[in-house]
Amino acid sequence: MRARPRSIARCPVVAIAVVAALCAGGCRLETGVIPSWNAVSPAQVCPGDEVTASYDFLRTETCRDEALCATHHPTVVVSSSPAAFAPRAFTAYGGRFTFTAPAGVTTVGFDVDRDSVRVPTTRVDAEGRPIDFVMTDVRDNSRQVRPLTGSQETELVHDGLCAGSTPVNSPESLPGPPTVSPNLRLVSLCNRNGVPVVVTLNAATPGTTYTQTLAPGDCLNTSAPGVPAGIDTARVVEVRPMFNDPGVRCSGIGPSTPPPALRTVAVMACR
Amino acid sequence: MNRPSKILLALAFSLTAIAPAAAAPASASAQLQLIDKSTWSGALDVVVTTYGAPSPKTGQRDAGQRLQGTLLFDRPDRFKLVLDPGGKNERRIAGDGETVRWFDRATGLQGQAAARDVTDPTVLALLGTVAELQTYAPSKDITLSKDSPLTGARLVPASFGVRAVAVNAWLHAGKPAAFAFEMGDGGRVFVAVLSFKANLALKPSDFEL
Repeated sequence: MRARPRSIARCPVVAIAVVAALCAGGCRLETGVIPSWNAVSPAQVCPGDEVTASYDFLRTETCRDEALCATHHPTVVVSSSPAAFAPRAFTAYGGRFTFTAPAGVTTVGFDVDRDSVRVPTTRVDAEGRPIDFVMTDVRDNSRQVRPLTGSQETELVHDGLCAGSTPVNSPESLPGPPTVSPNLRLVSLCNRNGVPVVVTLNAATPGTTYTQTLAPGDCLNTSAPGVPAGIDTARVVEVRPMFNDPGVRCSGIGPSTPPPALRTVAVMACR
Repeated sequence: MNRPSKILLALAFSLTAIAPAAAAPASASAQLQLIDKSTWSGALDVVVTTYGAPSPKTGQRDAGQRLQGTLLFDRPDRFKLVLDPGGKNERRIAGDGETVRWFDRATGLQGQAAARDVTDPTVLALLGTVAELQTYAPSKDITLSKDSPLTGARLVPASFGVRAVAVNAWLHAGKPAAFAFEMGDGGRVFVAVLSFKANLALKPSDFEL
């Protein structure tokens, strides 16, 4: 087995670096753009949720000299409109704080005091020179926090695959963190296929599982009698057809034809 | 982001997941890390299905486009992807680190571009690094029922703004079975792994269009 070079992209942004030059003091300068440097999570919230606003210019880089890095720290002011928290100012490569989700749509602004951010990294080039990475085209931008109202309908596509010689439909994740509130709960799950299916839900509490057969068009209601409490916290839906498609062939050694996709529809609402 | 580009991103994760099943750890996340550490080159037969974003009115996805495909890769930077091999819509895409070239059999058109312009940065990073899957995409095991033949892990790319916002990796007996990608534009790419051979001795000519 041949040895692998490890020089490529310690950080994904380096992969799109467009300029490399020598800088004063004998370091190598790499520049590149990053698609995004801040976030709010969750962005779709239930009443009372804690929302985290964060930014990160360091990403997967490591600072090689804290004192040197401190001279390059950007200042970022995070504010909200309408006001959901008092504006916060950070002078650092990264920062985060939490606030309580407001009742209405809120815009969180991230204003940075420069249009490029330099990070003296621990990476070195082929000649052993330390690399400074400069993120260019850094701009102020904003994120929206949106309250979830009423029920949310999501179609899940359970594509077919072969687990060795066993045909399987992919388990699928329900909407949840980090984008969607952890307090969004499953209300019902419906069979949108022309064939009967068996669905299995696993609650957030380990060991609580519920399985039910659904005829075409039928729905599983998580508050129905006999359904275990807490099953509405499920984050993954497993599904299989009641009867296997005769055209499906899964072979551990020969050609395989995975099963067709199945579809379910999850209806969710804030608890 | 066009379809071949999405498929490349999907397969970049897939190619990190081709390892001997022997001594596979129980945790899907640990299995993925082991695979990433021990895989240098390989060949896969896959079925790739791509879906657009759900309809804003109905929330439903389209029927998807399903294609057979083959992928050869040799880390850190060489790969060759053939979609619909032998079919009328065959498309070949090959990369060697700096340049990506393609040939479209249906139209006879071919071309090339700088890898950084047409390839997701995550693809380049995953091809070019070993044992750093956790750096680029920290993972968490997915709890499934006891009867499931699969184990699963959910990977969330570490950087803000990468094109895949989350990936579910499904394994069977310590081997990769499928990868489901949630794209930043709402699209979905599903890669079912039908067969694979790991750590092959590959030549530069294997990566010619």
